[in-house]
Amino acid sequence: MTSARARGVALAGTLVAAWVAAAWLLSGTSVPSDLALPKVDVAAVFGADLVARAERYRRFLYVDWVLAEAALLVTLAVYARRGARLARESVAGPIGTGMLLGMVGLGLAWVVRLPFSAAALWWERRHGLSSRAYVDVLVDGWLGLAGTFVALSLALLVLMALARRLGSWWWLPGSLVLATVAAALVVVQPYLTPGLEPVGRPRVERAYERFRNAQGVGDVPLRVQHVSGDTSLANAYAFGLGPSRRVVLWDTLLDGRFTGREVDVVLAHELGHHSSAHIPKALGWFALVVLPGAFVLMLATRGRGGMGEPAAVPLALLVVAVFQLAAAPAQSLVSRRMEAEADWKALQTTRDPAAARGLFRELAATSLGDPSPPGWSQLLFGTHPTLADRVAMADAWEARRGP
Amino acid sequence: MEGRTPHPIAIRLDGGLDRPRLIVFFRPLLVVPHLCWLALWTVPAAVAVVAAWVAGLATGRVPGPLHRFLASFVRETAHVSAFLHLVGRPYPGFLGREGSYPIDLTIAPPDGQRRLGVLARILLALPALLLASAFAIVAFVAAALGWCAALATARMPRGLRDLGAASLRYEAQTAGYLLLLTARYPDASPRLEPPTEDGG
Repeated sequence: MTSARARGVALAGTLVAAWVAAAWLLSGTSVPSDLALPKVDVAAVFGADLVARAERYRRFLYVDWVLAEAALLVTLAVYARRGARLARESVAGPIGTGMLLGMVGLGLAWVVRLPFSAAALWWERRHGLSSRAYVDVLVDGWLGLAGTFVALSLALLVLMALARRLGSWWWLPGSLVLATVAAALVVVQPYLTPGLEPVGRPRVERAYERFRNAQGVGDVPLRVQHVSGDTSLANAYAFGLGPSRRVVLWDTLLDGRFTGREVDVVLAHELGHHSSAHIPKALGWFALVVLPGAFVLMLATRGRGGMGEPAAVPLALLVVAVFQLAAAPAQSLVSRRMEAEADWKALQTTRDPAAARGLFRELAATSLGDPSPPGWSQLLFGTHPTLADRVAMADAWEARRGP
Repeated sequence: MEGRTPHPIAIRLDGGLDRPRLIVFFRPLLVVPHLCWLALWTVPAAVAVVAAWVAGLATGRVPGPLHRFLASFVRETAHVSAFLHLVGRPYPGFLGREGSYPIDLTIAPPDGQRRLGVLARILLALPALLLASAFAIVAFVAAALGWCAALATARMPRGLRDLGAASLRYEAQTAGYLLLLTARYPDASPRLEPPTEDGG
């Protein structure tokens, strides 16, 4: 073995070992490892009629998603073969031309998915879950592309410049840069999100302060987002990093459909994301996924002269789309573990499993969420444990606590 | 206008009228990275124009390096504007180099300027700025009509292209006057220099 090859093998071995160690550290959870979830009678808990309606509702969305993904992949495959011809429409140099090819590819992807987005919106409107106008979705999507184009152009600027300077080793520093940019975006995102207002409900704010102290979370403001003009779905989320950390409730959670105790569970759940450092951990996972992703991208684009060449960009878009699809099960698994931990924290904080069960039943009713979806869909889209599993966790927590 | 010396800031029209539909459709969004870049570029350009103003007051002439820097800024703005308004076909670069885009500005080297004109440049430029904003509306309307036509036929109508080019030229001359690239007032004549390309 030559010394260069030996150095390469040693580097690869070190990277793989570091990757496995980091993944092991990031996958830690405070949910007891011996927690056995009892079987839940879905029809009895959620109601047979609701389960049937939710299954029917979700089935359409599954088919819509599969068709949209198929159309996207076919389009990107065609674009990967023919897109490089558009390079003659640019006098912006190799990197500027790469940006043009990347933006046109993403624009095509948006256009191709538009009918499927419209079909999903039609289905949601038909079930009373959305009141957004089609033209609003069209205009918002078009304008949203502008932000996507800027982000893509920045990413291509960095990666192509690195590739032109470092050759096939760009993927190592490139991954680091992408992870750093992602962290910066997570920090600034709460400051850029419009329409976040104080809740202005003393009961909710008092409960939030109590749970914040109980979980040892620092100064994390609670905000409400007014979405009831567009949707009847209920949601909440935790986002931001360091000083920008926030918990946000959609105003649809506070419209009277959910009891005060159920809202308490939501507050404790979202605080659980912050107290369990889920957002820094998610960034860690992103860095871990980007590293092999960039390596695959480097390998795949070598035939087109490498990522430094604009002709490689259309192929790179296809590779990224396929990689994202392939990584979706792992991504969902990581997300499910975090959500399960936040549920567990909520139970430990509120000590109110009855309210948790009520919340999950109400979520199923208001969002037509399938309490027990097919395994393949949970594998691909299951960012949260199934509603049946969440009820089972509340039961398991209660059983541990004793009567 | 016969017999007058040409304006120090002139527009050059090269390239045909064909516009691929795909690039036409996304054109307003494709320039967003350029607009971000120009927004960043505005900061040093503002510093440079203040320095040029001080130097112009002191010596009656804008120093060559400042003139070149500001000329690149005005030229880059014109290239991006030409692409956005479908006056030019290809995707423009980011550096505003002369000769790098088919719709190009030729900007004469720095010449002497009256100190009083330099001192009162902002005030003197106000009427031209008002007219330039009217030209901007004209260019927008021409681009909107041209966008629809080019989506249908993959070709920019010559009249709309020339109207857009005349508007861009006036805007560029106004910017050049304001940024002290020239002491010559913008020329509002709609007449364009003879095109150098086959179909244009």
